[in-house]
Amino acid sequence: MTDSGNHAENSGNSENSVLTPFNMVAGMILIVGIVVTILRFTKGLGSVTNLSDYNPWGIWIGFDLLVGVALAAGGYVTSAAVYIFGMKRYHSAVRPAVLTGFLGYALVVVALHYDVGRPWRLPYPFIIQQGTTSVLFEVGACVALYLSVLFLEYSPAALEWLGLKRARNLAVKLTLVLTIFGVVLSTLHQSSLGALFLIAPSKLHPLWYSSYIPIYFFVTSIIAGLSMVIFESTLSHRYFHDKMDATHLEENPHVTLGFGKAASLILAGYFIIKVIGLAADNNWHYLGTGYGAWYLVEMLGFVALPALMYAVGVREKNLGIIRGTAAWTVLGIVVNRFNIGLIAFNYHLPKSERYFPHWMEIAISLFVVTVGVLVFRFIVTRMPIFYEHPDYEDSH
Amino acid sequence: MEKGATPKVVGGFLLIVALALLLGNQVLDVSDAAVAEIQPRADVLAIDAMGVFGPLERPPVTFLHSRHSEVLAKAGKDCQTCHLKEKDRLSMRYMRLSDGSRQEVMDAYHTNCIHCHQSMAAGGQASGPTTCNVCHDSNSMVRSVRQPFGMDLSLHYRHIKSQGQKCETCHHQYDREQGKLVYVKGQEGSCRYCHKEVTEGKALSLREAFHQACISCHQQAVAQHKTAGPVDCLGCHEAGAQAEIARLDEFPRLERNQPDVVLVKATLKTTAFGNPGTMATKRVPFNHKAHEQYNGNCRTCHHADLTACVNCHTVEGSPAGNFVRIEQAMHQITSDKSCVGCHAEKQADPKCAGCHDLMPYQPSAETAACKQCHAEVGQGARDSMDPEQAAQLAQYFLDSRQPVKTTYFDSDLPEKVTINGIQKEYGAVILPHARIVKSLMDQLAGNQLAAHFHSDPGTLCQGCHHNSPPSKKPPLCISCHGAASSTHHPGRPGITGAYHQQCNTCHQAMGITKVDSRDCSACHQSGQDAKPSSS
Amino acid sequence: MTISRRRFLGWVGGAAGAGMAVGHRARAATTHEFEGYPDAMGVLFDNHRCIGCRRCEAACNRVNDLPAPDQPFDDLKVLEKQRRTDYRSFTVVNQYANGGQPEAPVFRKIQCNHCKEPACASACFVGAFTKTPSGAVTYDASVCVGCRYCMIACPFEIPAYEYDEPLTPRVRKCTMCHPRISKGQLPGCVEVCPTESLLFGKREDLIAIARQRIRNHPDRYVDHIYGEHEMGGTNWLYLSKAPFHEVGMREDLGTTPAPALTAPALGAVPIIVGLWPVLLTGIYAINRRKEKIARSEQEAAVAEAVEQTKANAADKFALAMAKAEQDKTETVEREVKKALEEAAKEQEAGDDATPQSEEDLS
Repeated sequence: MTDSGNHAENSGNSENSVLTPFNMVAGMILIVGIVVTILRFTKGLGSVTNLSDYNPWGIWIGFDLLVGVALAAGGYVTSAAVYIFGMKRYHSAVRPAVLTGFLGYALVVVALHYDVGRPWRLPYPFIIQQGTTSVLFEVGACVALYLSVLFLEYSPAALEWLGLKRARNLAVKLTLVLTIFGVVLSTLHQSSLGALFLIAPSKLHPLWYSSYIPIYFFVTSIIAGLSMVIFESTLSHRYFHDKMDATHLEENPHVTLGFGKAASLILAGYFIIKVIGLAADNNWHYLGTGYGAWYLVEMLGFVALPALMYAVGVREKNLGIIRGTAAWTVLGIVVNRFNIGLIAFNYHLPKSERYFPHWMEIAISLFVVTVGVLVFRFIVTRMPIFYEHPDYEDSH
Repeated sequence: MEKGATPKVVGGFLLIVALALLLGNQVLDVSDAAVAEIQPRADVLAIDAMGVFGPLERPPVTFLHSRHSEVLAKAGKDCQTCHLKEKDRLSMRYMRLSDGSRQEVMDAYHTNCIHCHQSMAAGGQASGPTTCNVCHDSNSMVRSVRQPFGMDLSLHYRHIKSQGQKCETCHHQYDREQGKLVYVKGQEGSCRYCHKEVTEGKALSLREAFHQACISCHQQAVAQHKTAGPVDCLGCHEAGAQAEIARLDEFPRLERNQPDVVLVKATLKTTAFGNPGTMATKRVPFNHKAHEQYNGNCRTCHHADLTACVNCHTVEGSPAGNFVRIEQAMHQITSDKSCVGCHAEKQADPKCAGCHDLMPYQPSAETAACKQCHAEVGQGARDSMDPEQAAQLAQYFLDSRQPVKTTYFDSDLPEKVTINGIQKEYGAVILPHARIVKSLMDQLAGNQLAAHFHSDPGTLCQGCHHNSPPSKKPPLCISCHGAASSTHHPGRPGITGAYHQQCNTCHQAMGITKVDSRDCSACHQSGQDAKPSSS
Repeated sequence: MTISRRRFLGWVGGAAGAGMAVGHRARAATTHEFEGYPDAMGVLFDNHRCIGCRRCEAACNRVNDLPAPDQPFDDLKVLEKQRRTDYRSFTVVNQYANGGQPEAPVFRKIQCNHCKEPACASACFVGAFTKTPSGAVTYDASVCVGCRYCMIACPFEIPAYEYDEPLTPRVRKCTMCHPRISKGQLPGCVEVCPTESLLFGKREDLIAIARQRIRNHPDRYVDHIYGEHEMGGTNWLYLSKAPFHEVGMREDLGTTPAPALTAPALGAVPIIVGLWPVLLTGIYAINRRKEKIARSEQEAAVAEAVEQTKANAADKFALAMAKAEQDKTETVEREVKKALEEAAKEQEAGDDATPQSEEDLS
């Protein structure tokens, strides 16, 4: 009987203790989140947000919805690459990407329950009355359908874990159809999130308002998906390395290089179509203003620079540069969505009427992200996401 | 990551964040329409001299002339510090007599302005800018309140006196054959007949002509220690300074061989509609002498030359008159040169506007006002009449006019009128009718125009008792104005709106501030819910 | 499950026929012009007549049972600050400096403009807003989910939200007193205005009246009827004695109705739904084909290589066999020759001796 170490005295250092620093921080966020949730539903939106009649959409839409949906795009991008474009080398990246996507969309729906005035009425557009002239109707329908698609795409992992072989085999058979459907739905709702703002040209600064917004949103969603997959795999390697099997570890550099290459190209293409949009609307003179300078920061710092850095990383076969650029690009997506939803929106209003989030809004956004991370951790530590389940090794 | 890359990446990241914050700060600093003090000044000049060479590369420079001349005056310097002399007259251009090449003109400004500013600054005095963007700034914080200036009869007479009746001092004409300026007695006219807004060939622009002529002369007088007119911008163009210019109440008539009375006629030149010289319209007896006083100058009516209107403005329209027909020239209500137009302008005076503001702009076709001007001239008075006979006839008509200076007798008019038709929340209004009528009449005393056109004692009453013939017993307002307006009678408000619009517009137009339109108790007796205003 | 071509075509034809029988007439979403309901009513606001007494605000509050404001309606000091509509004010009156006449400020009444093609109605994904034939744009709180997209969409920044209601928050805005006007009454604000700055009537009549007013008093009004064309036209029209942008009304909104701004994006949806699957399936099929061809080419190459190897081996074997055969023959010959030589040698040695037998002689 040997003493296996110092586990009795300081529980914080024990391998089996729940109270790791991460867990403690996460726990605090959860507690604050629950308190704010109660406040939101007992006192109303006005008590927990800085929303106003001029600013009906804040960071719960700007971040949780717009950024969340963009960053969850890795699911369709990766499945499309592997199953439609036949890039079998990235196969091991599919399940993590699909999981990220599924959790991302699920949390978007959760966040929506906070923002919308009567969340129990969210099904109304489908079952009570359809506002088919609305872009938001199309966003809602596509997101709802796509969430189901993602769930089905994720289900094989869960079913394998639960040992339900027949159900799991059926789910796997649907892969191609689901992937195609997923790309269609993603194209529609990613672009439509941008199209939401088409209806308010008088409120969005001319440098960001363009009839090409839907295309911009769609293209950046691909960039976001590619970068997010790299970013998430970087973090997962750090914290879940022991859960990864040989295939996963072996394919990862290929995924990083391949996605980095794709991202570089698409970022370059995005830069070009943004310039075309600028030229088409003859908005050059705005570049000399304050907003123009900020626009250049977004374009040069968060589009041109990552395009270049990805290319450098791929050429030098330097995974570190690619990973760093991926993180930077994810930040760039946040900047872009924030610009359109919060910063360049209502640019014409005086300072006193502009919006800055309440700390409780930030708390809920943090809460939602934390829940996502915790569920992600729960799933990857138990279900065959980073490894192939021994019973099904040869069956895809 | 590769060795040594981390600090570089972090450094780059921080750099961009810093940049973003720096630049982004401007973004959130959205216009609170930051209106820093914008000063109103009458001496604002926009220096765009380079404009003669093509489109400007930089915004025009906002230049405050009087500020500079005041500073120079304090330093004991005069206009010649900046304005070169050319044959006894100062050039209005800065430091040059003419516009040479691009470089010369630019240097003229840059070298001289900046040098002066620098030397003053070196001497410890507050001075002007020495860098590009401060001068060439399109967002200058000044607003020009320069008032246009012109000669009127009073000022003109003061000049006549000071120049000893020597008209040739100022008046000249350009003789094309001789190619120079000459003076022809009896043909003096307004400067504006030749000097227009912009320089046209040899005719300087009005601004340059006035500045050269007037200011130079004034300067010479001042140099000889005589009293003279202003020599700087503010003296003529500032509203306050303009008000201080001495105005003579009485002065001799400006003699220029003009008629006292005219029987205005308009004739057809062509034979298309019958015999040449057929009378086209009823002739208008016109009191030219009286009208000379009404505008304070001749050029308002005689806008192109000092001859009869009908010379250029014919019935059909002619090139000389810019194809403005005589009918338009006399009746165009939007013009300040036409008879009707000028009369309409006079109606905007607060004394008149109370009633006239409410009346539609377009005079209706069957108004009785036409007869006030157009006289019934007999068959004999056609073209065969010579000018003297015509003048006599005109005088006859003018003498026989009977201006109406009164209204109905007081005994015919109610002292007070109680308006209590549809009392609901507010009490009745007891209108001091007699007082209002008396006040209006007092204001109209001595007004020739009103007396002439208010041709009936009841015309004045029609200011309020409108859309019905003048009468001692006009119909009740409620006869035509129903409870609420309806689009069936567009333009006719309901009774509440009718009263309030009528009363409020009159009060506002006449500048009556004693009665606040939002203070109901000022007019209404306290009714069941009469609420006094808390403003 | 296999299905014959004939049967498949039969089904498709049947479906198409059924679809045509019940389908509606196709209408292009983007180029359709809406002239407006023919008898739609509107309101004309004339700020020359408005004196800023705020009685319209009071009447609106009364008629709609709105909560009491912080300051009473006859408090004119509130006009010193610019206000906007909010959850308890469907309409507010703002005061603006009149550049031409500083002593006579100009007022503006703000409320829903009841657009001909409302942005809010287009944006609402549950169809909570309706443009009624009476001209009023009404709101149905019983379906509203509270997404507040209508507030984003409205170019005039009118809808307000009950942010302090936890469970039943509503969007709040002027209704043009739709219930009242349906009964033939006037909207509350119109009825109470003492100077008749507000005129209620058919929109086309109001425009004619507005034009006539401008013609009658050209020096009084800016020559423009605000709302005639802005955002495709509104049912609340404005005449102003001061430039519109000086009374807080945006003149840069354009004349495109809001629905036309999102129609192209929405129009692309069916195309994507139709084309993308074809595209993606095509790419997948092409990839599969490529893989298949690559696989079969690889197999062919392998087979050929095996063939080649086999052939080489067979050749070698044959050669070896032939050589072995030859060797054998040579050996046999050599041995026979040797045997014959030995036999001949033995014969010679045997001649010197007597024949042993007759056999030896044969």
